[in-house]
Amino acid sequence: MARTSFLLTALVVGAAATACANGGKRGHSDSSQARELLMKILDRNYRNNIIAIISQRSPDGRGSYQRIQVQISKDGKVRQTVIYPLSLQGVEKVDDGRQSAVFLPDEKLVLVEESPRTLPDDSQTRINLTVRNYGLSVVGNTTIAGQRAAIVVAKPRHAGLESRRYHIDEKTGFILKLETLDAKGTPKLAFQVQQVTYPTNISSSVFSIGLDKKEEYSVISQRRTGFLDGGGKGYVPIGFSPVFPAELPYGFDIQDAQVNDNGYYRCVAIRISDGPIKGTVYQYAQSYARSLKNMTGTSVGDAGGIRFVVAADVPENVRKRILSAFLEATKKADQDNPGLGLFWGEELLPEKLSLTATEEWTLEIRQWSQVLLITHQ
Amino acid sequence: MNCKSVQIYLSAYLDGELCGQECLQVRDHLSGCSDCRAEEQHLRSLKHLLRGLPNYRPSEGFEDRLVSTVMNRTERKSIFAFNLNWSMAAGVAAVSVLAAFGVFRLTDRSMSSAGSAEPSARLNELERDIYHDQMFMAGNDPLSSNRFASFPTHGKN
Repeated sequence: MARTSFLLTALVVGAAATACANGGKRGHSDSSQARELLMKILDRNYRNNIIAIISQRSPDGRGSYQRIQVQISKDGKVRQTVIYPLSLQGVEKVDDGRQSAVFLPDEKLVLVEESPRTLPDDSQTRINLTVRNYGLSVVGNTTIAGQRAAIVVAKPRHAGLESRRYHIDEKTGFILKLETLDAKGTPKLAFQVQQVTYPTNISSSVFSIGLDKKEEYSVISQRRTGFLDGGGKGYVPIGFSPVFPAELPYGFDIQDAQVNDNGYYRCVAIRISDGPIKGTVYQYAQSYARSLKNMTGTSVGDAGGIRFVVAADVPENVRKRILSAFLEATKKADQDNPGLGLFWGEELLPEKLSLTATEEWTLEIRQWSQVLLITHQ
Repeated sequence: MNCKSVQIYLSAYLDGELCGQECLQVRDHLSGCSDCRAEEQHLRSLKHLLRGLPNYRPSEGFEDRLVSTVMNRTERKSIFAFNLNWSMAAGVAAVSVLAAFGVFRLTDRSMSSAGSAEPSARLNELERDIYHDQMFMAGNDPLSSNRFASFPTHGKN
């Protein structure tokens, strides 16, 4: 009897081991399939025209949802129209690939700036970071808005981050649904497609910004930044020396940095990513942004005369640890070179702004540019 | 009829709400203006998609709960309304204005003495700049959970 039990146990253990081995192999191929699907999403060469209505979690942190009509052309032009809530109804964003314009009908304003598509393509870097920091797997299929979707789960290798569950249209690579899952596996919906079609044509005039036809609108032009590539060695007359920690927690890497040369609030925006998530660490001269408090989705801290604002769609404790990395790096830099941040903070108070910035401010042009004001050592 | 007028009438045109002459004028304009035709197609596709959205039914007893909540609030409000004494209200308002003015002066002085006053308008603008930048970056990021989100608008929070 004991021998029979032993044999049975051995059989069960053997079967389980074989299953695990097969599962492991399947997991591996699932991982490459998941990676390919994610790459398809990030691929800038869209293959389809898309018209969709999307329910999107509002960024105000109140748990409400916005309803937005989205039109995307094969070559990546975008037009978004807010349908709900009423307070934002009719707000439109048009991106023609060169410029991006936000139309605010209530205020009769248009905010025009460079298209984000002019930013460098970082898709390969992000896939590499994703593979480094997350376990990827395809966990099944489902149907959303009439389209067959593969369900891809990205599970973080660093405890504290959330898992992400992407429902990806297998034919087009369009994300039909995105959820985040906390440590207990409780899903939180970020957005979901309610209706979607992939028409063969969308008229190019849909993606025309057409400012000449909006005579009654006031136009505010915002020119965005170039990039800092000095890794902290560049001299930036924005009121302080920006801080770039050598290492960030949770597998985040620094991607690039931009300088906001806004007349009042000069700052450096450091873009960070762990793969699926992109965040920004804004650095202001503390004297400018002294009263800035925590906004939804941000963590704020000070060191060495610099105010840091970490903005990223991650749990608060993760944001705080990223913030700590910047604060520690600043303290260390201050020990090596005491008073440097403070010195620059005093150097450029608002009344001492450059003539260029002042002139442009009076013309109501808020400028995001570093071209004229940065020299690299 | 020019482009501007047509765009005003377009929604009503598609809903069949225009009278015959207006309808003909819009149609005439559309036949010769590709931009307005594109706008018409855009609006038509939007209306078509909206018609396809599911209808939501309120839960059982929703209407009763709504009516009773509204009635309760109205009753509470009416207690104050009944006891309102206009001369007293005017006095309270005057004292409030004086107090607010005093607080404002005190606050203003203390902030000025610190030499670091930042008008709230500027501060709001700073916050809006951060939101705007975040939405800008998210809009270009297909993996972002805020990809399609709209942001607090200029002057609104």
